[in-house]
Amino acid sequence: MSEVISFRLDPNNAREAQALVLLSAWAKKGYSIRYVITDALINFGEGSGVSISTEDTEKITSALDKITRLIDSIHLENGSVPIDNTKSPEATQINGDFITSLKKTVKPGLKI
Amino acid sequence: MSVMVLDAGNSIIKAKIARREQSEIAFPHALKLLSEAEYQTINDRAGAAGLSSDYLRINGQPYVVRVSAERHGVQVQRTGAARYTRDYLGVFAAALMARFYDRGRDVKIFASHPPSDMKFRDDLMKAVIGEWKVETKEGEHTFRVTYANTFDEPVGGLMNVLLTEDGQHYQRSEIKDGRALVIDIGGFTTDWVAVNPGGEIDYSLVRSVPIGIQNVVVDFEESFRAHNLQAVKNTPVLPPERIRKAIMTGEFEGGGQKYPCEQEVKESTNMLLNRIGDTYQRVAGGALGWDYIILTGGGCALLHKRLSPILNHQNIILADDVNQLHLANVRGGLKLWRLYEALKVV
Repeated sequence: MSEVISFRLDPNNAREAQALVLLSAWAKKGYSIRYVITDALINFGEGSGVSISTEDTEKITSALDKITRLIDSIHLENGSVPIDNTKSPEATQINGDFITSLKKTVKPGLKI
Repeated sequence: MSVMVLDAGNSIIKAKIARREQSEIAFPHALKLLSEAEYQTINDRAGAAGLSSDYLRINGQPYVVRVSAERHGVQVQRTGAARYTRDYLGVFAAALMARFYDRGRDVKIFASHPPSDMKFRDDLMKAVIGEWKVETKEGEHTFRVTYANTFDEPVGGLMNVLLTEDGQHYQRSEIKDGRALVIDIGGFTTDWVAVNPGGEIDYSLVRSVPIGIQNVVVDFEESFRAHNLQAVKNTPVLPPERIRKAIMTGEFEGGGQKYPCEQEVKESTNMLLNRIGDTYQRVAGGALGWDYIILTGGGCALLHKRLSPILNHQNIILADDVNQLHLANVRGGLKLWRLYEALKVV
């Protein structure tokens, strides 16, 4: 089952305001907040000598705490509404039929 | 782990990685194995600037790729399934990894092929899997392709229209509710794929016809030369980019002049358009059975306006911006990969 993690971002904080802008920009390109944060966390460890593994739960928790402090209510001009996770108003989660048919067409890969 | 999506087309090699900037590469399908003497001569002449990044050693063998390879005279340019060997497709993959990444790493490759090459997909995967030592002027890096899988090129174009960047939402949800026909005009093949409502690929209607935009480019040059002898007498080869623009616009620009060439365009596109019209009627059953027609591939970028009267359909969708249409399949391939990852099927 998914774990719900909520984030806050204060637009009065310069760094957090920049994070707001970035999230908004990536959402417009079609990336969900969930995807952006997941990707950011994975890359947070890459190249820094830190490998994220099950033994690094405390580091993951610490990273999430930092991100939680970074993101507050996202204010638009009318002062409401968090970022939509979808690229456009009509973008919807892919449905079960599509997933089922897609799974049928996946071919085996080659691994070494 | 890094993933590289690869579309090794017959005329242009395209690749994309999951990075925010400088994530796409497209270059001419040109490769030449050099002798040690040739490589050393070029290296010696390179001087302080060093060799161009088009020259590289891959697993100890010197090669030249991209535009520089085109200047090395006659090359062997393989097409179709003949490309799927380590000393050809593998070399292209290694050269691409060296251009994308500034250090060696493990990489997964998700490579496309025309639907007709499905039976050769094992050869394709074996061609790229394994270790690649790449030496460029920047140094030597080792890439290990630890996993490979494949997808059909027109399905890449479809996914670029259908899915958002994260691969987990519909970008155009109305398409999933209708029946769509995907037409992918590449360099030497034109591929057709049908999609049922719900997004399921209908593999009973998959075709690969051995004619593409490169046939048009060659015929255009011949026709243009015949009609403009004085203009071309000092030009042994017409610049391919100008030919492509002329096919789109009906006007060839060069030497500071514009040469009307609608007649030459009609002559050179006639065969391809007739084949498309024929397949559309015979195999796809014409316009009425489809809710959407999706055009993808570089060839559609040049011909979409001329295709429109043949397709006679109100919902013709380009799989990307017209100037980026040659990248639609590889962009859609990355979206598909992200969806596969989310579904844990790769």
